[in-house]
Amino acid sequence: MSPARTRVGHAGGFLLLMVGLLLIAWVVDYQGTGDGGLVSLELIDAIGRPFQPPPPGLIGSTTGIGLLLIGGWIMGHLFSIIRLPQITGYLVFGIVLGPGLGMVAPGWPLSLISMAELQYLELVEGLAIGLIALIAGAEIKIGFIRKNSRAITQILGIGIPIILGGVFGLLALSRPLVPFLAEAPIEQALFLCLVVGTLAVANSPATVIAMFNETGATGRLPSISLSTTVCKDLILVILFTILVSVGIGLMGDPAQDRSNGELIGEMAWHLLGSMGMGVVVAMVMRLMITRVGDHMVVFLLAAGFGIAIISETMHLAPLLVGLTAGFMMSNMWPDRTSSFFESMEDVLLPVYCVFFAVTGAMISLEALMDLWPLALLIVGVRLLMIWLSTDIACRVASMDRTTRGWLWTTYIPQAGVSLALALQIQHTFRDMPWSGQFASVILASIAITQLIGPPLMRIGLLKTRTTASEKNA
Amino acid sequence: MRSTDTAQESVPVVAESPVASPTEIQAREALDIFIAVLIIVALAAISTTKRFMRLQRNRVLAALVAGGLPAFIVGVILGKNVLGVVEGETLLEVRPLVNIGLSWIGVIIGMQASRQAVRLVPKVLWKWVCLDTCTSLLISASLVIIVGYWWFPASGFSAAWLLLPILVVSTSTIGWSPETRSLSRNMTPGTSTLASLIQGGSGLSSLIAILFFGILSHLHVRTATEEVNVMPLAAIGDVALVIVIAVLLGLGCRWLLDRTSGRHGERVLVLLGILALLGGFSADLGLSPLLTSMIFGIIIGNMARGTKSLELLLTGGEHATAVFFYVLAGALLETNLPVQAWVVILVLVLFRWIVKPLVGKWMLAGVIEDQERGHRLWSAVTRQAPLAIVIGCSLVLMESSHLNRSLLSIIVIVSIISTVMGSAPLRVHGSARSSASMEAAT
Repeated sequence: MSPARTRVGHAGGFLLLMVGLLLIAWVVDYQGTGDGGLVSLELIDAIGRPFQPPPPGLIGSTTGIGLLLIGGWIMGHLFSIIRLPQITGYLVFGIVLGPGLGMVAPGWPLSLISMAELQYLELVEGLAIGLIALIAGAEIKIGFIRKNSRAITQILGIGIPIILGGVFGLLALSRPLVPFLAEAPIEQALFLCLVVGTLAVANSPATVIAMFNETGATGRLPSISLSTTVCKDLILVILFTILVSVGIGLMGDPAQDRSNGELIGEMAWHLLGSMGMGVVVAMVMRLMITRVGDHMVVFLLAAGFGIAIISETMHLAPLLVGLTAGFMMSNMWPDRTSSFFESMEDVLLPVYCVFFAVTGAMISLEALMDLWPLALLIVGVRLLMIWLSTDIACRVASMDRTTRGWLWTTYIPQAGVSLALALQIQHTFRDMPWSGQFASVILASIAITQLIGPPLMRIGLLKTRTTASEKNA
Repeated sequence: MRSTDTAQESVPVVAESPVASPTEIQAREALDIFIAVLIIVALAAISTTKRFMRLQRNRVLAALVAGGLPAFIVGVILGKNVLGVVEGETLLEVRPLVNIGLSWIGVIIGMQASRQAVRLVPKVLWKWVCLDTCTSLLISASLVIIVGYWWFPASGFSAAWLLLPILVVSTSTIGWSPETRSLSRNMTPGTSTLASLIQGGSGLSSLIAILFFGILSHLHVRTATEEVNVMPLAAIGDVALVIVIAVLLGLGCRWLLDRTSGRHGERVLVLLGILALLGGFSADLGLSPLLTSMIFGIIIGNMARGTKSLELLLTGGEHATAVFFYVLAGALLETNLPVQAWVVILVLVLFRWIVKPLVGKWMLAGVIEDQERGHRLWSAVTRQAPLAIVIGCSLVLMESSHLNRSLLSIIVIVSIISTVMGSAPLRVHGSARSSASMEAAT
């Protein structure tokens, strides 16, 4: 059978399986009591003692995980058959099954994962963050950074001001046309423009690593891309700390009664404490790795889970904790920890499937529908600025033509960092009249970026690989 | 798990819900879960160390470990009764993990029922297992009915209320522990046959127990108005649906495994995804995942090819899954059991100790020699099957009521007592020390 026919056969099989899976899920959802009944009742057992039924969403969360794993993976395969990134497939599957589509189109029959169920999947999300951060940290080699420090500094030094300035300029100029900016006093409007500009700088290490894994990209471009992505996010967190302090100085802290000093102290703990905890985690894991034997996968899961929970309990940033731990482990004890990172390959695929599908399921289509013109404009200017700044930086750093041509595509994806920071602003200034619309614009632009980012990045990575293999030939 | 003031890769894109998330696992609960996961990792890791393996050359220790005693003790110590580090209720909050674990066990048991294996089962074993099942069901059901009259006055003594207690106690009484390694010293051809029959009988009994529990628990329906009913028609519909789901997932899984292109990560994904679906669909229907996953296991186990990798993955995680359920059961243990529960425990232990070996010896009279009638291998039959703990946990997962936790505690206590009593002949025979002959025999 010809490869094309085989591919069509596979696609047909995957499609059939997907339809079957969704049909079963729909029938079970229709037939089952699931989370619908017995929500708030206190039940009585045979000896007359009362007990609580499980909270809404808890029962259905197991099916949610299964659907997102198998369905997301199948959708990823279908997308790869039509030459689109698999993670876009996971995202799209999440959108199809999530509650967002049901809100936009009432009666949508495939809204099989409710908001309550999604909240339970945050546990898996926490695990994913821990593991992704560990592997992102491990990918940054100190030798490479030393060797390429000039290029990395130039990309960051040129990229951050251009992207931030470009998006800030666009919003500042179009202030009269944007309702929430027009209604806010000038200093608040400028502050918001600055916040959106800063958020435009953010990248997604998770997406970047997933795309490298998917395309098998190796060499200088992925290394530079990942190093700059991670460094950019670190700088972003610091920039944001300063911005929030400035905002509180301007408007006060309506959410919590905190002084500037307290806020700065809190942020410093957030940064330095996270790094310190990362060092501790790395040292503990180094000691344990040799003792876990055949249970490496279980140990990995415990490590990811542990990073998420320790960070939550101590108010630290799990991303920073994981990055520091992964960086230390792979750079200080490479021989001892190699088996750990090799085993990670086994669990990364399921983690990616659930993580990106949950991301898709949480996308606010309502916000996207309402504010798509402004969001699209922000995304367009951001893309332009990323391309421009990366091109300039690559020219200054005398990088080869291929890197110069395609490196910018790896800086497009955005996800958790920008979202978490946007929600932080919304939360801190939630009493301000603009907070709702501001969050919706950010969410809408991130949703668009998340959908177009991975395909563009895939094209970039594949072009780079093709060029490299042509050169080798 | 999410903290909105962190720079993490979390993606809360949908506008925030107006009320505080009811499902946000509090830091304390999250820590509990993490501690439990760490303990399971540590126990699983310790139990595969060479030093621990050496310890298990001691027959008594080997029997106690096989009965899950160390993990139970750890669960009890960490649970609310002693240190209160890990609350059993909190562990139930990780429902997906528990459901996946139940499916894992169900699939492993189902996969044993391949056509070839079933064909090899001798008639005498079928007879033995059938008689054991009948006596177990008869005695334990009568016991619960009699004690229930005294214990559940609030239930009005209706069949609907009594169904689940009867079911869980009787199905946990079916069968016995498959562990014969600690009992099989100086094996002769006769004792080897007896050990094989005990192991085979345990496997068959597990299948029957899940079948009974899975099907009959469907009869129990709790309506939204808090009423408990027995609905045979609804049960037939649910069982049919569960069978269809298991068959379709089995066929789909086989097709997917063929396309995993040998990547370990993809196989792990398919396995976890299918287990979550099996557990999730059952839970959505208000049922235990054990039956669905067992049927799935039977289908997978009878497929000619392509499932070896799945089997390897499943058996690789078997130990950690078992430890998880033992720790969970220990943490959920109710110590303030009423007198009625202790009566049930006493009768069940006596039944295991006296009746089970008698039934076995009677049924195998034509197969075994006289000298094997007194062999210590028979004490394996007195030990409760590890599946009973899983069935008990499954019941608590369906409804985490005080009664159900008490029933789980009954099962746990019977398991501990029967394991300890089952290890007694080892000391009586003075064979606590290991010997090379034992290793050779096993």
